[in-house]
Amino acid sequence: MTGTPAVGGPARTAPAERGRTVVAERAVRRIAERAAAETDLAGRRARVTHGTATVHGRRTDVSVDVRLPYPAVLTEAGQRVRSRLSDRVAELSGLTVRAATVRVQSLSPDRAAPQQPPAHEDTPSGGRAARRPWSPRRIPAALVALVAVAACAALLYDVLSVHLADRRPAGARTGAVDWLATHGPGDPAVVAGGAVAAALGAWLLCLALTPGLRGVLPLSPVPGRPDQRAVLDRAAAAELVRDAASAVPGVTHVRVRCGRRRVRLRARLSFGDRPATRVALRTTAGATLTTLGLARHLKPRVTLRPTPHWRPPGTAPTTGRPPVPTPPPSGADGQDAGVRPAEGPVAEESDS
Amino acid sequence: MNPLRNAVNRTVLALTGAALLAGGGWLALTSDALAGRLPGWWPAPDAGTVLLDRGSLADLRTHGWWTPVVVAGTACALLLCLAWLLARFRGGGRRLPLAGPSLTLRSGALADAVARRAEATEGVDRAQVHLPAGKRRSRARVRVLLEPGAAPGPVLERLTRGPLDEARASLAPHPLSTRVRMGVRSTRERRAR
Repeated sequence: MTGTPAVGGPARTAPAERGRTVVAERAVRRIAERAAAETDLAGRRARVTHGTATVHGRRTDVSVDVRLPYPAVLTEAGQRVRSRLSDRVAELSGLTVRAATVRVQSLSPDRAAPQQPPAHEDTPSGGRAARRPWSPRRIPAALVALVAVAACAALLYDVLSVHLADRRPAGARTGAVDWLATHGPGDPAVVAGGAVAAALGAWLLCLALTPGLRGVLPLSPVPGRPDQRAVLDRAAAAELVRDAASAVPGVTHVRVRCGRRRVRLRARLSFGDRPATRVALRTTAGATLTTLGLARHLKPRVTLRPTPHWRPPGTAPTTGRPPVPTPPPSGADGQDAGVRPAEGPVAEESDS
Repeated sequence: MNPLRNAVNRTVLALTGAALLAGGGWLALTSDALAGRLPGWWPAPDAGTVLLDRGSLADLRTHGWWTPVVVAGTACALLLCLAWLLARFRGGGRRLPLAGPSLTLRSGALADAVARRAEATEGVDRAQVHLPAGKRRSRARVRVLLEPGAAPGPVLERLTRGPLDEARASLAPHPLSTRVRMGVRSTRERRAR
């Protein structure tokens, strides 16, 4: 604050009233930054990264960039900072605060994991199944618009240049008119062009009418959150089922293909009992599919083939020589009758 | 995505596709090989016509209004398409006004904060949040990579009741809708780790 000597006038004013007070902008800025940083936001503080202040006579505009603590109602916290800012600046500097702006530039989130409120009964959404998401088809529409813009721009430029600048019409335009005037329906070129245009049109129509987004599956919505939709990648669903299936003992080479209604699981059996393992695989796949939380239930289809070195349980282990069919002993022990061929038939189980 | 924009895009595609299909199909079916097979009511062109009649074009050009109409029509179409293209690429703003212009929030800051809180949730390996600011409503797009062995259903519950609810609460009167997409790392990536 700088003072200037009193202007001597006809009526001498008291010393306390003499002089002028000019508040520097730097001082107002410091006051603003300090005031914003002092705001108490439920025990935490905002951090000020930058501040500006402009002074016009007795009025000032201040603005601060702050960093607020995160899980908080930002509107309320911001308003608190703003009101404290304008109050303190007005109080300490004696100027009138014309505009106080708070810009939240960053947020500092809590380190702790988010608290889970107890899962009380939310309003049930009435069992509405999640709808399949529809792709917005941005890129095809943008391409069509781009082509239209290019064609219109070229035509407009050409027509204007012919009529305003007296230039010759572009070769492309006259060539096109010539070509169109000499070819009619029935020409092979016209027929081919028509076929290409029809194919393109059919494809665009297909794009417009189909949902798209074939690589994701909708998840069933969380009750009470009507404006939230979640999807799961189909590849991710296949991976999760595959991981669970690989954990079943005796199973190797698992391949999973996840469709919209069925999940096809192909595995090879290296040891163990075949029917029991198939049942175990089906159970595991079904359990995993339930934990996925999908909106529509997928049915697993399991195909289990034995590997070349598989032996049915109960047969004596081989010593490395190729299997030799042995004559059945007199005791009619049915086991040896089944030295099975190496490749068993593929069992297509239609699990319903 | 915005359902209105979705509908507009699809309508444009459908109209263009239908026009191309109709015109192209009609031209393609005029070939000599198929001429005999078309039914009687098909509007087939007479033999010997051309696609563009020079005589009628010259007649049109003699009218005084032909050139201005062509120019005006093309200019209108150009402006419409340009406006539409630019409107899609305008995207969301960077600053979200919380209470008028005097209190604004950088939407990237909120997106980063939500992503970090989401990564702290159990079962989530990586999270990316994209939150373009909208004047009346914001749409958050969350992409989540699950940890190996995590089940998507419970993780979605935890995410919803945790970070996503916090985000909704922090933007309180401003409506926020979310689109979550969950995935896992591919097997090759997981083995290499």
